Amino acid sequence: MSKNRLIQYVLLVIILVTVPQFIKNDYALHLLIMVATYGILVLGLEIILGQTGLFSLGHAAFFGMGAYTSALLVMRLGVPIWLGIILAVLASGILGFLLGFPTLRLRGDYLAIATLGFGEIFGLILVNWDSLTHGPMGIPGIVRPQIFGVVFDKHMYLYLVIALFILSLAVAFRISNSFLGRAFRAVRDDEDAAEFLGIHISKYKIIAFVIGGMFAGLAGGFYAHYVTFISPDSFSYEDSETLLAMVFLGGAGTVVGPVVGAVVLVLLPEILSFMVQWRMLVVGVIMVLVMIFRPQGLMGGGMRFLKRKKELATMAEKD
Amino acid sequence: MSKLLRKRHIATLIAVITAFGLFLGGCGSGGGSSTSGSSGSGTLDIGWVAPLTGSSANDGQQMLNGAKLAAKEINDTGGIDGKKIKIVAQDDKADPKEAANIANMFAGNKNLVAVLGNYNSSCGLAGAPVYDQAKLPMIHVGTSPVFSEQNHPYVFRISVTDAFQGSFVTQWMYDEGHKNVAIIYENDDYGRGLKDTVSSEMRKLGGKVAGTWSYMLGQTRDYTAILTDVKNSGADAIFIGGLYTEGALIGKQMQGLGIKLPVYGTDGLYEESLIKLGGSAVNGWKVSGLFLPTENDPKLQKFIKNYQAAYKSTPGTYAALDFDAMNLLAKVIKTVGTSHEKIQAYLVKMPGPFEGVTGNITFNDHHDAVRKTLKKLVVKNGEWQLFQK
Amino acid sequence: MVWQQLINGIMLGSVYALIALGYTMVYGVMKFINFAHGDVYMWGAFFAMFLARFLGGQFLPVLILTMILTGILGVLVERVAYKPLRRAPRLVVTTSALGMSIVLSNLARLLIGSATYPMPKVLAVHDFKLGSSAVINNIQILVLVTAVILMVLLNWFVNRSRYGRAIRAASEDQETAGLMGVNMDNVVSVTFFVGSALGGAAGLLVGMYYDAVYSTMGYAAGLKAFTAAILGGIGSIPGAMFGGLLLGIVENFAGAFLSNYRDGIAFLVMILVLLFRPGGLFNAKIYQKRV
Repeated sequence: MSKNRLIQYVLLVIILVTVPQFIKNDYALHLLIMVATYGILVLGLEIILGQTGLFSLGHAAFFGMGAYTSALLVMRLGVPIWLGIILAVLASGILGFLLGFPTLRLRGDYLAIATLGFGEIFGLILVNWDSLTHGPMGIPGIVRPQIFGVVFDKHMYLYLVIALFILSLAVAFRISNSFLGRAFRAVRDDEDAAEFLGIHISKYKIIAFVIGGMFAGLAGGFYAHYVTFISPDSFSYEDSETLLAMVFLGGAGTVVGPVVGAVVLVLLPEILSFMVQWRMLVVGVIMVLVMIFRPQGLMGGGMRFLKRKKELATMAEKD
Repeated sequence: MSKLLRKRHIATLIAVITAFGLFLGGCGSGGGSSTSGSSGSGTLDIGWVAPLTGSSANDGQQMLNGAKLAAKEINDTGGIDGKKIKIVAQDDKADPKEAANIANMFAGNKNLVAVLGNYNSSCGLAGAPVYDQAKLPMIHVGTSPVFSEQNHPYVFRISVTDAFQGSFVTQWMYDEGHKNVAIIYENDDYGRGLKDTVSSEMRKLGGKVAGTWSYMLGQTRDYTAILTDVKNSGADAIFIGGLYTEGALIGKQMQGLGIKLPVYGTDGLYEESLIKLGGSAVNGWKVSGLFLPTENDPKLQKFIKNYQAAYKSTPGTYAALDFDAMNLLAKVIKTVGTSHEKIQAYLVKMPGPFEGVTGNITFNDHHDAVRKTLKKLVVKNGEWQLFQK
Repeated sequence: MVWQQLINGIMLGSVYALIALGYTMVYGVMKFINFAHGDVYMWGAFFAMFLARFLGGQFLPVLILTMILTGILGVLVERVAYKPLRRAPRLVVTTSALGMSIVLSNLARLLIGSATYPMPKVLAVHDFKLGSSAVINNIQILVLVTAVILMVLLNWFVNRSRYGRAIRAASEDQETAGLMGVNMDNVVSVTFFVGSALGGAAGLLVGMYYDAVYSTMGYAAGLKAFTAAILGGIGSIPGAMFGGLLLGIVENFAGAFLSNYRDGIAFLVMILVLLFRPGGLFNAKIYQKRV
């Protein structure tokens, strides 16, 4: 790790540790927790969609899988929460494999609609498999984590989710810069060329779904133990759509861009909440405007860097 | 991606997070500073949350109308101890995640005296732990049995439970001689609870259930597949565990398929729109309800007249429930002041029932509204009438 | 009973097919999923409702005016949200379409209301008995006949007319078509006009069939129609018709026997079809390039 990079991470950690201390309002804390949760979620979708170019409209299912896995294991089998969250990550990864495998042959929009169908089926199973999931009534009273006998309060949740977020961010960067990341982008940019270069396309597509699923599983496991109530309504197609919008709004393929998209799309409706009836209209208008005036996404910029410019141009072409 | 670029990105991320952090910190301290509560300001702030967008937006709007009407009436007569009620309305989009966001927003707003809560049970349950922790009294209209099981100390239910109205209607069907009922229900906590109650009560009485069919809210409103199957099931009556819009369309599609079975339902069907939309197709439908517009009760007549004047329509179940909830809150605040703890304590142990337009209300140990009986209503000549044998 | 379910399925399917045509036409030329199309269809139903209130029981004038108004709306949507993005990656256009969909449905809620409105009677209903138990009424027959006529007209338009040729040329290769003197702006506008006009027709027909119009109706129907378009092979007009019918029929039989999983089974069938025919049932020639 270079010195400069270390300084950057240290700075990020310092800010993320100190800033929450000055926030006393529960609502502000809650929103930051939601921003970080969505941050982890979109980092996963970024790997599937931004890096590997797999158009997925079922990401909410991975989120739900994580939330339900941990909640059910903890509530029904008395598994410790930390283990529950780890198992949630694994379960969502397995779900990613199960989704990735049959859809290998599908490309572009065909993949999108297959993942959409997959998400809908997952939602219906949550609603209808009463004996396991408690159906549409959802699971109430999910236990909160404790440390040394102290039940988590909002500040502790925020620190926990920030830690998870930084971990996810580091992993995402690591992947993006490794051979794995280059293989993902090769698959995204030109499948045929990637195959020609000896990259096993199917393998990397499945790996992308597995890793993306694991990120979402982590977010889901955390979310279940934070909000303490989950029901099928929380993991719907509309949520998959929102996640998709976050990735593009921030800038697909840039790792950090989608996180910025998550910050904007989580906070914007709340900031606009004074205009109750009109806010969703405004959110829609802003989405259209951002796309028109910044088609590369909010963070797709960095235009001063020539290399990036070139990459963008090739991305536009390939897309 | 170049290392240079990544550094830049992290730097931007730091900037974005800091900016939003400071923004939130700012609004946080702003909200926190006025801890003096409503006693300092000139208004009594009541939070209100239900869906105002999405497929349940219409029901949410009705609730808001009811609450606003009650607040206006109170304010027009001088408010409570000289203070006017102000409704802080928020839209939960029928999404539990958004409901949790808003619950936290309300919990952070120290000016709020109480909250008129969510329409969807799942939204109410997502917010309930927050209201408990903030000790902010919340009155909602959800129907899920989970509320009773969870015993949230600060959460109260003013609507009728599925168990109560489900068994009421089942007895009614049985008394009318229907012993083999087909159940069509909305596949969510509301419809599911009714389906379970009606099935078990019918069997207890010695009747049969010809079958159960479900539909999802927000999907294509085509019920012909279900209805064709119902037609061939040998049922002698249909019970609908759902809401008026879907109910009206089920009625019309029954008419199209030539199905002439008697139909029963609960307060979810009781609404002017059922008749407006359903027309002749819903004639003779029997529904358990909380009130009847033509009833000779001065309090009710005044409510209906004022509601019609303000919103050009006749109030349904949900408008009336939030009208009552707002009046109940006003009465409590008048008696015990604006302390959250005192309001909660009053609601837990009400000295006498609150006389609302939906009947006399007290809360039981589970904080569910207790009502003595329901009204038997029927659609006749294009309007709701009291059922007579 | 089986016959009645088949009739129900064909009815639902022909509605899906009409909406699916809008997705498929836009996709053929522009290569992106116009997520706002479901909401354009919803506006079509509202246009039809208002027109029917003014014009009363005149089916043809209501139909034609609805199609024109909805077509204009479609062109407007394209001009505002997609035209500035002609050279952008198509997923960016998709995001813009998602935003436009939010805008259109919220506008309807704010301007008209969130209630469900009955459709004024355009025609009186007459039932016809088919065999011992199946029933069909004149509105259903009208919906079916109109859908079929519109699809035949569309097929003629795309394959025989001058604009149709331009559309086909553009869908094969935009740049070459441009070099050959095809005005892309006009082609895109015509495509959006025709696709949206068909959505408007679907709005009227659905409004008449279910006798209900509401601001969120575009969402579920749009999702299903989009599925139908992919199922048939997006970009293919016969594919959209066939995909719609197949989806409608599957959904109806699934709805009767396993009502809890009605939509799940519809999607499962779709995934299975795609597994064996990854390009949809009518593997459209247009769709050979990747994302």
